[in-house]
Amino acid sequence: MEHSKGFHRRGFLASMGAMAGVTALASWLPLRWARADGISRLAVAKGEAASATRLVLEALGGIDAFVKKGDVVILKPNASFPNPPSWGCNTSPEVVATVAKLCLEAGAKRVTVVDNTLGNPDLCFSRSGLKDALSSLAQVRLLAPKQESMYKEVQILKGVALRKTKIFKEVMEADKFINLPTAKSHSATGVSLGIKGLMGLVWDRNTFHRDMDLDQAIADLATVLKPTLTILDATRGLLTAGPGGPGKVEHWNTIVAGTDPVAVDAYGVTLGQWYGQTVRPEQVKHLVAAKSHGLGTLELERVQILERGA
Amino acid sequence: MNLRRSLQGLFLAFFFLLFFTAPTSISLFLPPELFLRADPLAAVVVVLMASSVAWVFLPAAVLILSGLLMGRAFCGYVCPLGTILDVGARLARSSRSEPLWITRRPALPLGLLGLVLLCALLGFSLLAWFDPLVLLTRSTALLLQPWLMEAGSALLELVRPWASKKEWFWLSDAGLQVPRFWLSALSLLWMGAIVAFSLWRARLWCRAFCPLGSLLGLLGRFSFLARSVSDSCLDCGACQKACPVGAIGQDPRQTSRARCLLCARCKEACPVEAIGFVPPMRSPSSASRENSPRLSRRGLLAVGAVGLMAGLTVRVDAGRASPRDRLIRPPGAVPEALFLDRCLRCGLCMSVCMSHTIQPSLWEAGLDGIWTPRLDLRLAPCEKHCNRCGLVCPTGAIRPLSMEERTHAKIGTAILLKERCLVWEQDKTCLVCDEICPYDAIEFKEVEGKRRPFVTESRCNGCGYCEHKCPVQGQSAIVVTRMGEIRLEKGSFLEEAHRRGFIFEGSREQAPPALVPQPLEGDLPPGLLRP
Ligand code: SF4
Repeated sequence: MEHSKGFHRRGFLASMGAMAGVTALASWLPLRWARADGISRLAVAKGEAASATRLVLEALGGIDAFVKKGDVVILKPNASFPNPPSWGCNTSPEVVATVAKLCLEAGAKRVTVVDNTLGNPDLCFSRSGLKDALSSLAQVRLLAPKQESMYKEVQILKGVALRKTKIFKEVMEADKFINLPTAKSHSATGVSLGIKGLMGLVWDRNTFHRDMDLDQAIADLATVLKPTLTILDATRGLLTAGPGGPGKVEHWNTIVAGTDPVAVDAYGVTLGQWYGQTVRPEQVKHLVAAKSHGLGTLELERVQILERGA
Repeated sequence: MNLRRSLQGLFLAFFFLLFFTAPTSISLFLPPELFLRADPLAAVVVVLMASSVAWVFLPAAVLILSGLLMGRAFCGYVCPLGTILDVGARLARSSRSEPLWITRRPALPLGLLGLVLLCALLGFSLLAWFDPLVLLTRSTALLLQPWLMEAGSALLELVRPWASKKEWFWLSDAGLQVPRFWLSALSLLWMGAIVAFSLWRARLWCRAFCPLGSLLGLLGRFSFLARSVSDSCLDCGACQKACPVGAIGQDPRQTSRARCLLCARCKEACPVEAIGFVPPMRSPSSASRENSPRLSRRGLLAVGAVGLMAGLTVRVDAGRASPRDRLIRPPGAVPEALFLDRCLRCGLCMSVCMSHTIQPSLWEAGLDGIWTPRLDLRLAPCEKHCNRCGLVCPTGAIRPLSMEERTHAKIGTAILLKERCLVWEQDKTCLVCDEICPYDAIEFKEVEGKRRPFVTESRCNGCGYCEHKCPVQGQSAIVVTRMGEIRLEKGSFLEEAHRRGFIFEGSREQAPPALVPQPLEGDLPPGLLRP
């Protein structure tokens, strides 16, 4: 008995182990299948900028799930305007600094923070607070590529409106590319979130407005600029008078992150009343066009949302 | 290295140091415009035209004093243009003494000085053309600085690939903003001629034209120091050959104080050490005989006639009566007539301008407005957070303003040319002017069911970001005109702006609703489908 009992216990342990394994597998598999099925996962964290940024990344498995030792990483915040953080038209400096720090901790070889600013680069970087926030991080490089030689012409094979454009060279060569948009309104495209923010890596923006359908061109650009991860800074939302402000600013203390750029933006759309109205993600033309390109999902009901923080 | 050359080198270096550190935050405890404010010729001209700013020329007292004590020593030891001409002459081995028709007319620079002063009395500043310090400052701004930057950025482009391979990002990311200026050829032509003549005949400019030198020479008629020749003189003529300005007469004991730079080259050349620079009353034996130029009656008449004609021509030039609508002056510029009086045309504002939108005018401001600053807003915008131009302006033609005051110094108003606008004319989704406007002055309103951009005059500062960024090729679809500009000689721009109902700070939400058109109900940007 003793023996059999012992055997039994061992058998029990073994079956427990097997069961745990199966449970783990079971919880993992649907996710895999689900993702293969087109269902995305988003993480949403509440709290103060830096801590919410950390929480959101932990929810997605930590920065190590995305950045490996020795990686060259590009971070693309929005820093286009020489306006202070309170206006909500640039990405919060704390969010950018936190992500940069985490990338370095994960062993990134180099982190380049880049935006082809609309305004004077020095003024944009200093007045947005970005310069100060990054100044203590020695391996972080802050850059507004204002030399045409820093760009490379890229053919956009799937492009409907935009067939080719000059894109910041290094982003095409980097190991990882993390988009760090802020949540704001936009008087042409309605909202400006992650996918719209990609225009900040392009040399000639004028042609987007002048020579083609803007919303379609933005979606076309997204077919060649695919971020490893999008982290949307929704600590504030600029609900009117975007993209430059000043307009109505709400404090949401929220960070949204995910690998599906369309889903992140779709979630961002639902966060507030744009121009005093409720806007559904399917109303945003450039997101609809991005979805048709197969870049991600717009239906938030089909997205798994991991919530963190207060 | 003798004393003179060391001093010349030092002052030249000091001039460029002041110039090139002006736009940066490096403070040298000395104003970058110091040389200009020490210029007695500029002082006299500006005070004749606009006496209110005499105090800015306080440093000129030093030069006046030095003129009284030592004549043209400034020219020989300090003047940066003189130094450049000396270096040029040395390199070109230009001949010194061969007399020319023009150098045999010692009254010529005196006449030029008279012309400059007479025209100043008639309200026409000739400093732009004849003041050496103004000329050199402006040439450095409009030519030397762009040349250096262009060469520097070409060099950067060359090393960029290599630097980024090496991961020297401080180098590979570096970019130099090359300033580009209108009138560069005209600037080159005028300055180039002055330099070229002096390569041909050493210091030709200084001896035959320079009105500043001639003013100093005039002051130095009874100066404390002068060249004197002792009896040991052999009459060998070595000094005459050595003199760069032909100040020594047929008789080597004769010196023209109007020309003598006190450079002491003659002293170095003299085989018997007969030459000294001492107070005239203590000069050994035979006193240095004076040989000072005077304007003949005919010369005086000529100067009077030319000056009168020039002054009257400027007065009847239509440019003054009707300046171009697109003549946008820098923020803080005093009222136009006073501005033309005070402006030295030195180009310092153009050199320090953050975006290099400040350009030299050609005819926009009339005949005497040549080289005065105007903004080319299609080329570059006027930065909201920059007040450098007023800070460096030597005479307060552009007033030095605090950032808050500067924000209220409205320079014009944008006008939307609907027939060129991509939205109005072609129904495109363009918002560039709205997006970029730092003052939030562009408003989309619904017109016949379509969203259309408008300029809110009460918020428009005239900065021209819209005109600069407008994606329409060629002529912008939104242009800034002088309408609504605020030009004050004294008093607060902020108060004036508020009095006139302009709102340049804060958001629409904070502004009094009456001044800000509210967007229509249910109005959504075109990028959003209607629900
Ligand atoms: S509308 Fe006026 S304030 Fe706005 S960008 Fe144009 S010029 Fe500047």
